[in-house]
Amino acid sequence: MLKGLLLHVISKLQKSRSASGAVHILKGKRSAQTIQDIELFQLNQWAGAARCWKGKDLAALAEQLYNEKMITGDNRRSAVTDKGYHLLKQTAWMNELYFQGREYEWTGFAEVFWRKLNLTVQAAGSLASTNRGFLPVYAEADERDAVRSIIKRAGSRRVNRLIYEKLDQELRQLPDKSALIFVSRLAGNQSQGKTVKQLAGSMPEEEVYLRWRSVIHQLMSTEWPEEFLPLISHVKQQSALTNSAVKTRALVMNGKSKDEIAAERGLKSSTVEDHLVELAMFDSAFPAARYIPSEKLKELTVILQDAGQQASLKDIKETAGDKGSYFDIRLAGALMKNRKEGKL
Amino acid sequence: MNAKELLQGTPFKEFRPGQENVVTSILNGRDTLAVLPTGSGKTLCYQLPAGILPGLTIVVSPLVSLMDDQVTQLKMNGFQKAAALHGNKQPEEKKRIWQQLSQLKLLYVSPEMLAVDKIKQRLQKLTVSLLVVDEAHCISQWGHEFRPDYKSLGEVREELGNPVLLALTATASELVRTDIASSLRLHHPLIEAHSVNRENIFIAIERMNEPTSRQQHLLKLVAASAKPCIIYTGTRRDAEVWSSLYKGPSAFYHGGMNAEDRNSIQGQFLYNEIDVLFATSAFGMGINKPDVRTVVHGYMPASVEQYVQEIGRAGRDGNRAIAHAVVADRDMMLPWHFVEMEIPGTDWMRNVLLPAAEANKDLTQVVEDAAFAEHTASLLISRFNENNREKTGQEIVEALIQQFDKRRQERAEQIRQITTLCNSTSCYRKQILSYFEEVPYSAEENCCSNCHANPHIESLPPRQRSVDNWQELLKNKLHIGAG
Repeated sequence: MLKGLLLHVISKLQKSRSASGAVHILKGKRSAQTIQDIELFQLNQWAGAARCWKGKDLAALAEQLYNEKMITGDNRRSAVTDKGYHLLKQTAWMNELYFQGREYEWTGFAEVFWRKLNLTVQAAGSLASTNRGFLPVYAEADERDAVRSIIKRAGSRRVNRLIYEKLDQELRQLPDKSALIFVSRLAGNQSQGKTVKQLAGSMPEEEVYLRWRSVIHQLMSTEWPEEFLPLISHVKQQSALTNSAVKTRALVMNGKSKDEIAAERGLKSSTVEDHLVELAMFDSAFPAARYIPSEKLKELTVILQDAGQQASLKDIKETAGDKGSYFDIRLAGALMKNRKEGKL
Repeated sequence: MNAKELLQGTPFKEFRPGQENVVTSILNGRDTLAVLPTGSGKTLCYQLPAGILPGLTIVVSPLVSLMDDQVTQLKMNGFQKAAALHGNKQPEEKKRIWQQLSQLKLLYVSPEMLAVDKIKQRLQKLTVSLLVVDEAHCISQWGHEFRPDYKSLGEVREELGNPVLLALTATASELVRTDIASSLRLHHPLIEAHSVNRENIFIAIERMNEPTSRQQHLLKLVAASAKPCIIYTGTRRDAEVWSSLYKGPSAFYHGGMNAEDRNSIQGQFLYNEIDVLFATSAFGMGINKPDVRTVVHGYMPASVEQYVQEIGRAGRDGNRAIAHAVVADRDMMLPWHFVEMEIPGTDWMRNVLLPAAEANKDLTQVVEDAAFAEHTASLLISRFNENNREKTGQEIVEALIQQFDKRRQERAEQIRQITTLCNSTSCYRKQILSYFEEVPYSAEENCCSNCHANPHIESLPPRQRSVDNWQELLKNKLHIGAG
């Protein structure tokens, strides 16, 4: 599954990245290299598209593409073969999708929205019937609260009518294929949603999945009646940072060092490094000097500028030698990007 | 208040055999050991007292994956103040449960959680009126799934201020009962024991010499069987493959699927949107579906206990149902394979686990890589945690090896017993009853395939075929225009 999409992303990387670079983009890896690649190769649409997948499975899929001779190359650069391009031709439907990976998948917003929406439909449908008890679909505690508050405030009858009108109106504007997949995924009165696998029959599982997610993105991009604001409130609340990075940020602002943060939060040092890079990239208040001496930063910035944007982290590390660790280089890269966008 | 009055306000109209005695005994403050067969409504036995006793009822359950289902089921039946606390919960969720603890009436916990001092201390501050030990046979090494963490529950009970204790199990021989009573320090308990026998279930076992033709045979059998029908497959792969080969709507269910998909399939089966389900034994314990007409075992089960428990998911409504098992000689390999997954080998313990522990490696990863069953993994890790720091790694490993050797012998015995049952030419019901040390007898009609011909059982009428028009489907989901 997602074979066509992975191949598509590899082709977009223009023979300058490995297949695992493509996997990182789809998985939504929060590293400077991946974030840079997304911008450089204009892959915002698919960034984080496979966030809910296991990294292991995606890596196996890349391996499979090699074995089937869809792609060639080494662990630095992969290229799509003629056989691969032949397969890509069959995935033209992908271009018609309203899929907004960077905005809704990378951030995890789509998944949260889906769980809340699904539970709302299920609750509103079940409460409208005589058989009010139901086996609730999976949702986190705060998501359940959000749905409960919607129903409590507006009343289940009103919620039922409004959500029907809203979904009916939006789905009418989409291909019937997509609308049917989306509605079949929903739980409702005395009815559970079908799984993606169950819906894959006349079309590949990959297409079912991406069409379903596209409808979610489409719905998220529209205006929702006031009664349903708790469905999308999480989108506004969060910044570009991951939840865990926000917690690290609090310690950064308290003047803690990298090791102190790792100890205090019980995280691996490499995870804290990822957070620091993320902060360096998005947070204009990030106190960079504490984590990289200004001399070192200057030296690495020069190396990074000389290398140009196409260079991979590995190449740069080779050039830099002892002048900086991988972390130093990532941090310098992130700070450069942050400055360029005028945030610093 | 008497037990009957408690039923008002619940969806239950009357007690099933055993329930009323158990509830009354608990309300009278008497320790109780209830041996009630699967499907006889054990949950109700503590749900009703939990609702009116002051403070909290704690339910210890060994099956983490089941706890959330049980909470869901309670909430579906209108009992809202329940939660489950186990190692697989997100930290945020755990925090939330702790904050709401004083408002809860019923809390499910895993035995591992109760072994943690911090958790015990917090529970000690509350009024605990009732301690329920579910699957209590796990406490006895004579039972079929001995869980060492259960051993300390007698102590935990005292630390919680000696609440009334209810021990629940579906099957327990005399020996296991005595063991449970002494381990949990029960005071003059009421022992409410009901037979494992389910007279409305016809027991059919077929032996196949030619295991290669089994798949075809099974698919035909399922097609001809009364629906809803659960087919237990030995492996995840068989669940997927058989479901894809079955002509007609069906689905598969196994532990390798994500939570959302599992929930979805479970719900579709519950609501009769699908009436044929190919599943591994991971399926079907938490959610009560009363109208299952057929349970098929497509392989030889791992033990008589497991077999009886799984066929017990048929006919919970008391109406006639049938249990088929299709077994072949080489099926014995499969239970042995599970034994290997469940019980780590001595070589692995000495040559992989011990060196890793001594090198202070991340044991969670080492254990995960070895892909053992869930409770084996948690047992291995908990043995190495802080509680055991006074022992050397070698001592811990050698103690575990001894324990595992014993367990392996027990499993061998269980496999021998189920093989004997499957190969038998005399009444299956009789043999099952004598296995559980009950008075053996055969049913006069519709007993088993060694006594009588297979009965005809009516399928539940299938639900309307699914619509392929999204507007129509959306209306159905939201119950719009249905009057």
